[in-house]
Order: sequence, then structure tokens, then C-alpha cells
Amino acid sequence: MTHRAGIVLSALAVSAMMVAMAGCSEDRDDEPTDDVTGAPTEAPDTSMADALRRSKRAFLDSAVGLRADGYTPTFGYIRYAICTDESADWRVTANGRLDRRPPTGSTRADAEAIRDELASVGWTAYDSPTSPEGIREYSSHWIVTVERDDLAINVSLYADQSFVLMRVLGPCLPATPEQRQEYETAPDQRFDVPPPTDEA
Amino acid sequence: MADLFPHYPSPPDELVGIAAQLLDTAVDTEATLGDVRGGMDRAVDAVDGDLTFPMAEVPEPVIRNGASVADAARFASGAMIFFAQAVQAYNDGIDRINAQVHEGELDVMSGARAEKLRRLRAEQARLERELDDAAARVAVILRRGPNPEDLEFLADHGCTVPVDALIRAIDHMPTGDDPAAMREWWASLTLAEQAAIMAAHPEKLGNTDGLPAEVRDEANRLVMADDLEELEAEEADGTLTDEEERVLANIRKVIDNLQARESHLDPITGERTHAQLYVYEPYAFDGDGRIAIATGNLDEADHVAVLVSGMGTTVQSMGAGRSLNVYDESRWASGDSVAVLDWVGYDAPSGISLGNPDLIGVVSQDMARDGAERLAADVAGLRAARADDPAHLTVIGNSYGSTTAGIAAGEFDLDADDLILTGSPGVPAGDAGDLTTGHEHTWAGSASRDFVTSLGRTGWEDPTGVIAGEIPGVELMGNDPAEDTFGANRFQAEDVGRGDEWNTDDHSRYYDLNTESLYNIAAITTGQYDDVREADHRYDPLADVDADVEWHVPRGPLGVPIGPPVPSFDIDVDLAMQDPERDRDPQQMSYQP
Repeated sequence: MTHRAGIVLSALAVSAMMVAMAGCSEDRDDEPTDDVTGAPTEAPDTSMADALRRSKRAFLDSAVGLRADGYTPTFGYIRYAICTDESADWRVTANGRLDRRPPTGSTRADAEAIRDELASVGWTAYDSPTSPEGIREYSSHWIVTVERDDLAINVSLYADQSFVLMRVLGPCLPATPEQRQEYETAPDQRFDVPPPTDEA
Repeated sequence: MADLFPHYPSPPDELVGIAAQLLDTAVDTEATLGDVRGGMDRAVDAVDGDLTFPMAEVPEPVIRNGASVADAARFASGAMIFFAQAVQAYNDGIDRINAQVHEGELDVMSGARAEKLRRLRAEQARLERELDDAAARVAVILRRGPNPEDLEFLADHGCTVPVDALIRAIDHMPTGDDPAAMREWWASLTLAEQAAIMAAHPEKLGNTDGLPAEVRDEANRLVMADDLEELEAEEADGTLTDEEERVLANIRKVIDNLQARESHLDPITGERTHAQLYVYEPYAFDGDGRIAIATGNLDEADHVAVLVSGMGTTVQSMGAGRSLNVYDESRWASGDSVAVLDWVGYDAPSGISLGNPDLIGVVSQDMARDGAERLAADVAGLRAARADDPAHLTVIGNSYGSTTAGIAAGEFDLDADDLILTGSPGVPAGDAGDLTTGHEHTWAGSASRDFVTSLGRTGWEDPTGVIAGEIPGVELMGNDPAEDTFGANRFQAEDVGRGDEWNTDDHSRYYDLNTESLYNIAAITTGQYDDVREADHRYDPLADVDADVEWHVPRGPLGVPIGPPVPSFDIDVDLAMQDPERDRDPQQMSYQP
């Protein structure tokens, strides 16, 4: 390849531009694609309902696991979220807040402890240069990311807040127009979280 | 972070809106009663003398009951104003308390600070007791229903408005386009006057720059309710015109969008988020509609983001997904209060059909320029409404919306603190320094293989410009904001699942959760610039080559173009290397399952 013009342009460049800017590649609407490669694949056998069940389970199990470290879940809820702008793909997320006991701000050591706790029950820290050993570091907070199968967990800790936020991300799944309408209008649904223990 | 002592959850403007709705109900009921009375009078006239049945006496109980409904609605409206006044007093008191808490002062607790905190909490408790007393008084008033004693009490407390005072207040409403004057006029009114004017003339308030967003929201909802009632009646009669049919569909879409935001739970509080109908013009643009809806409270949020969507966006395609992701990630990023305004405020090119009259809009800047002027005006309105308490305001333009936002910043004095351009096909400015946000606060998020971002002119080649020159009426969107010579900050916006080459899928993933793009957008939106992960710019690979490259379209017989533009000579430089992000290891990106 010596110049990109040969790649980018053709006599149909203008119409391609229109299609791209509209985000309306029609064949994508109903055709599942591989989340990693973007290539067409067989329809995943993972349904949204299954992803919802597993995401919620992962949230609850993780919340229970973190109780021993002093974290008490205060609420949890399910939310559908778009993956792509034109709403062709959606994911389900299980979200919630865990309060720290005693109520103090977090440190990087706390982020590492959460990562290690989750790793001890089968989650893998997402290790990359911008998230070394599963921890993305900001000026006053940290985001722990771990993964297992097609789920991921984010936990955000704050130097100046006595709570952490946790969410379990389900996989991006293609949605039919009817499903999009359903996800778009579905209210966030609270679910019961484990009660605090005496020790917490 | 938010103030240590929060305001009462429902802002006074919302309570004023409820009071206005009650007044509106009273007026509607009275109008209905007038209709009933008129009908009965006609009936009496028609049968008078021919029947012994005393028609004239029949409607009186009906009229009396109806009148009592209207009276009850007016009475309840007054009671609501009484409570709104109490909430306003409470919030003012809370503001005085928060003013005594200096940033970071209470983080490390000494004896003196503990004493100060105890004193402030005691003051808060006193305010809460006063508010509780007011609430209890309102409960008693409502339980008793309309009665002379409470009516006198409400009148004495300025909770009702004499007609002459209302007329005077309306007469003083500023004319012309002066948001600051409008803001001052509104603030000069009593809460009761505000409610009365909103009930009588919501159409004068809903889209008026300078008014608080909550006021606009309440007024717009009143207008929308009337529109819906009228159009649904016509729908039932089968008399809807084609345009009205589109407008009715717009209204239903707006209702869906409001519900989607109001049923969203805030990730930190777990409470339902606030939603505001900031712009409501369902008839605009021949029925395409002009709408702006906020997630969060535009009047109080620490950070306001205005999302400008691109081609294909109409009220009918409006969804909450992108703004809710921006809202959530921004809350995650800082814990500060956030409001995200979905702005479908211009006639964006809405289709790619050859028969679509908007077609030419896709390949020209005309619609973007028209939208830019409207965007700048709406942002000026947001600013004017919070002149004393400015939010950190970010305008986020996506795709064609980035061109719109760029023009607003370059030609119409867009008053934003930060400007984010994602998936941009170009901005008609030569340098970020020419935009109101300047080099420091103009940000570009361009995935390295997003085809649309290849359409902007660069400093070293303009092949798409060659194409444009071949087709009359076709115009490009401008310069690539991710290029080094443009001078914007470029942030990392790659997707783990990106394509191998230029593609359109990468154009639609800037707002997915847990992507580096959305993390960076949230950091900018909340003013945490140190947390933005910057990307290397695209650059001119021929900068060190001693040659001028010109592009031309190869032509066949009769000058007909027969292929894509090619450089005027072969040169052994890998132009794909123009973008360092292309070769970044996906493992360096945020995880995306």
C-alpha cells in the first residue's frame, strides 16, 4: 500500500460517505458480528436474558465476596446500554454502590485488594499498558477491571468518597428493532442486594 | 464533588410547574363548565314552553360540582406555591450553610472543625424543622379543602395572584431576544405570579432563552399535553394531516425519551434521574421536529454536556442510550453533578435516499451552518440562565454534528468551556486556535480506522476534495481535527474490536461503556483534564519529502472520470503510517467484552 487514496476512495466515495455518516449500514442491523474482529459470525447462543441472569449473579456474588473486606452493597439495578450509536447492539449491565466500612476514602491498595479478591474467585485482571494489572489509575480515583468469559466487572474507587461503584458488563448482542424498542424504554430495575453482615 | 449540604430534592421551579398545572386544570374545567352551561342554555331555549320538564334547573348541581373542582384545583395550586416558597427558603438557607464550608476544610477533622460541622448540622436541622412545619401546614390545608380561612391565609402569604397583578406581570415581559432581560424579569416575579403566567401562557416560556431549564421544562410539558390531546382527538376523528401525523409521532417519541431518562437510576444515589424538556418544537422543519431533552438538572449541575448528533438524527430516531452512557460515565469519573442535553436542535441531513430533499445537505455544510447558529444561540441561553452560577459546559459533536459544533465555535461564538469532536469528517476551520475553545480546550476523538474521519482535509493531501470538485454542489466538511497542524488535543479513542482497515463500524463505538473513548469524554466533560489519555496526532508523512504532491482524477475518453484520485507521481511512503494510533496494540486499549 503506497497511499490511502486507493483504499478510501472510489467513484462511490460520496455515497459511501453518506452511508458511513448516517451509521446506517443496513446489513448490520440483524447480522451478528464477532465482538472482537467485527466479522460476521453465527448468532451467539447467549441471549440477553441469559446475559442478564449471569450479570446479576456476578454482581451479587462479587458483592458478597467483598463484604469481608468491609464493603456493604446499598443498592443494585439492571440497566440496558447501547454498544453502538445507532443502537444496533445492546448490552445488559448490573450496577450498584458499595459503601465502605469504616466510611473513608479509598487508596490504590484498596483497589488492589478488590482486584485480588475478584481474582481469587476466578476473574482475571485485565492487564494492559493503560490498565496495568487490571487497574486504570486516575488523579483521584481508580478503576479496577476484571473479566471472565464474556463478562467484565468495573469497580471505581475514590480517594475522597466512602463508597465504590461496581458494574458488571454483559456482552454486546445484536438487537432486532423490537428488542431495541424494548431496551430503549425498559426502566432500570432495582434488585435486592445482600444485607450487611454484623462484621461489616 | 457535590455540596456537603444538598438542596431539597424537588426544586421550587418544579413545584411552581405543578402549581401551574393545577391552575391550568382549573381553567380547563371552567372552560368546560362554560361549554356545559352554554349547551344547557341552548337546550333550555330550544324546549322552553314546549315541555313542562324544568330544564333550567337540571344543570345547576352539575355546574356546582364542576365549579368546586375548579376551586379545588386553584386552592391546591395556592397550597403548592406555599410549599414552593418554603422550599426556596430552605434552599437559600442551605446555600448560606454551604458557603461556610470551604473546599477541603472539613476533610481533616480537628476539634475546631468538628465544632463547626456540628454547628452547621444544627442549622441544617433547624431549616429542616421549618420545612417540615410548612409541609404539615400544606397537608392540613389540602385535607380541609377550599375554605375561607385557608384562602385568606394563602392570599396573605402571596400564594394567589389577583388578575390585575397577573396582567401587570405579563405586560412587563421583555420583548425581543435578550436572555439576560428575560432572566431578570422572571426572577422579579413571585412564585405565584410565575405559576399563573405559566398556566396562562406556557407557550411564551417553554423555548425562551434566559429562563431556568426547569421552568422551560414545566411550560413545555403543559404545551405538549395540550398538543397531544388535540392531535389524538383529530387522530380519533381521522382528520390528521400528514404533517400532524408526523408531529403526533414526534410527541410520542418525546414522551418515550422523557420516560427513558426519568426511569434511569443515578449510579451514585440510586435515585431516578431528573429529565427536562428544554426545547419543544415538534412542528419545526416541516414536521421533523426540533427537540432538546436533558438527563439531569441543567439549572444546578456542576457540569453540563450538550450532545450534538449527526446525520440521520431526527426526533424520530432520538434515543437516550448515548446520553445515558455519557451521564453515567461522567458521574463515575468525578461524582460531581452532571446534566447531559441531547440536542436535536437543527435540521440534520436525515437520509441517503436519492429522492430525499436532504440529500444535498449531506454533502454540504449548509445544514451544519444553520444548525451551528441555532446551537450557539441555545448554548447562550443556557449560559444566560446561569449567569450567577455558571456550569462547566462542554459541547460534544459527533460525526456531522462535530462539523456543526465546529462551525458554531468558529463562526457563531459558541460559549463552551470545552469542545469535543468525535468521529469528525472535518471542521471548516484551519486551526483550533480559530475556535472559541482554542487549542487547549478543543478535543478530537478519532478512531484510527473510522472511515468517516478520513474524509477531513489534511495538510498533505486532499483526495476527497478532488472528488468533491468533480460533482457540482458537493462540498467537504473541512479539516481533520485529529491532525497535528490543526492543533486540537487528540485523545485515545480506539476500539478493541476495531477493523483491520478503514471501516464504518468504528464510527459508531465512541460512546460504548468501558471504552477509552468514553472514559476520556467523561474526563473532559467533568473538567478532569489530567485524566485524559492523549493520543499522538495524525501527521504529514511527506513532511520530510522534498516534493509537492498533487492529486488528480484519471480520465477516459471525453474527460470522463475512470477511477479514484491518484498522486501525480509514485512515492514510496506508507501513508497509512500517518496515524500512530493505527499501530497501537489493542491490548493497550480499554477492555470491551
